[in-house]
Amino acid sequence: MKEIKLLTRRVGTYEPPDLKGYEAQGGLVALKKALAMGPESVIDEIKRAGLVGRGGAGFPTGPKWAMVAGEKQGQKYLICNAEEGEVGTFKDKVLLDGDPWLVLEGILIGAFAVGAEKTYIYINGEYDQTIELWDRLVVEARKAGLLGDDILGSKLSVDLQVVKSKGLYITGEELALISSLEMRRAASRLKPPYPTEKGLFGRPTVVNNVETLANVPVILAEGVEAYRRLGVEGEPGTRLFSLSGDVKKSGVYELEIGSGTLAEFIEEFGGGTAGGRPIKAVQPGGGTSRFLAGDSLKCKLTARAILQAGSGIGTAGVIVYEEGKSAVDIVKGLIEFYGFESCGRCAPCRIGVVRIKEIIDKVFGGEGTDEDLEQLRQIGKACVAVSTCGMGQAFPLPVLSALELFPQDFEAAIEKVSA
Amino acid sequence: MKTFDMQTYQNLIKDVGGLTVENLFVFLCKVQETFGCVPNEVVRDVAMKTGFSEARIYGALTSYREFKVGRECGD
Ligand SMILES: Cc1cc2nc3c(=O)[nH]c(=O)nc-3n(C[C@H](O)[C@H](O)[C@H](O)COP(=O)(O)O)c2cc1C
Repeated sequence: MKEIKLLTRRVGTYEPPDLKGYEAQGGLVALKKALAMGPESVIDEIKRAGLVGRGGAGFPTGPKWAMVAGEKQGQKYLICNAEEGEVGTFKDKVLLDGDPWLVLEGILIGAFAVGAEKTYIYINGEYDQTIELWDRLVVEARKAGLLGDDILGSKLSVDLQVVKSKGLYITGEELALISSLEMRRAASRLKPPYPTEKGLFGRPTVVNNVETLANVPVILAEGVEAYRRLGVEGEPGTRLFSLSGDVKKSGVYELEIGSGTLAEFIEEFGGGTAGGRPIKAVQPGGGTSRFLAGDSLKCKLTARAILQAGSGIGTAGVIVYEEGKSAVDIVKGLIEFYGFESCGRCAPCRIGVVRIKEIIDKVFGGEGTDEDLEQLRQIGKACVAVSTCGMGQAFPLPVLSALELFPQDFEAAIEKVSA
Repeated sequence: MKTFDMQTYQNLIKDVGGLTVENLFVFLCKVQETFGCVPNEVVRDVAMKTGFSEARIYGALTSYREFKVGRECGD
């Protein structure tokens, strides 16, 4: 397995917000191409490239843009989602800090393609330096004629607002993010209508992840054929994997999709487990993904293979847990985080997250019973089935999968008391 | 962090190019960062200027851990 530098090629080679360093290495070529091609051809190219969203839900980008572009009248918006709140996920930061012009170029091409004059980048509030950098980047971009009216001498007008997120996990969810910009409570809502139909201030809105938008200039500059040569059938290109947990070396690595297995990735890039013990379990797609263990770690690093193995690629945040820790302990750590993050809008998530946390604490404290484990399963399943948004639908997944994969850990925690 | 004063506040409005419905959230984030809270006086003023009700603004702000309003502001 080898790292491949497609999106991350310029990271570390220039000092942002220096624009010259970016331009000297092929920057802005894609934007100029896009302006010459026209919006419809840009959307066609993104569709042909087969780009899917990197924010977790894996929605195809071309069709998403086409929906918003289809609305010809009135204001439209594009939002770059840089909340990056998911546990074990820190790959967007590499692009935001290391090659912000690439992300901005993606935002501009997206805005041009769908006809959005107002754009936002909603950045994780803990990324202080990133936000400072983006504030300076916007000033530089205005000076260079890349934001404002008549961008690069064309008729394109785009404005960008840098928003510092207010420290809530839920504002990474697109409808909660939109609500927050609309001066509403940071809470999700029912879909449909989707943001592409009724988004920000009721207008058609594109919400895209940072990494998704960073793919766009690369696709246009390199050409669809060259882009599609990377990756596997149905999943072209590369992905930025964040690797963390019990490994010797954590970090962000850009890999060709499908270029190796999860186990190889952990061994070769993470240098194996931190304590040298065997791997107990891995979350391949961030803190809300199901655990994989044993033979399923031999799955290829593709969305499809990870799904078949029993989990999801999600945000590609690979979290490794080595032998020696009880699964009860592991899920307790995860639920401690999610337990504070329900927006409270829908009952299953609002109540479920608290009940699940209470039961796990009880089991961990050695006071659990068989009935408690059954309750965990029932509440978890109910949350997944009937919650309004992806938060409630996903946070119980690691708990449910831990109960399936490591029942002995839960039973041991219970027996400690009865013994 | 500074204590609230009208001059700094007016300058913040100028910095964002005037208050609009579209930049109100971003603006109130700046108010919070500058003064450490969003005073009642500000909520009243921005409600008047944008047409949002004060209730909607308080409702929104109190759903974020990081915004301080009302008593937390010394109001
Ligand atoms: C609870 C929750 C948190 C989310 N957090 C993020 C996030 O931090 N960053 C992100 O890009 N997408 C996040 N998403 C996904 C977004 O709702 C949305 O699908 C994504 O930004 C769309 O971009 P894409 O099509 O480019 O992937 C989250 C979803 C949920 C349900």
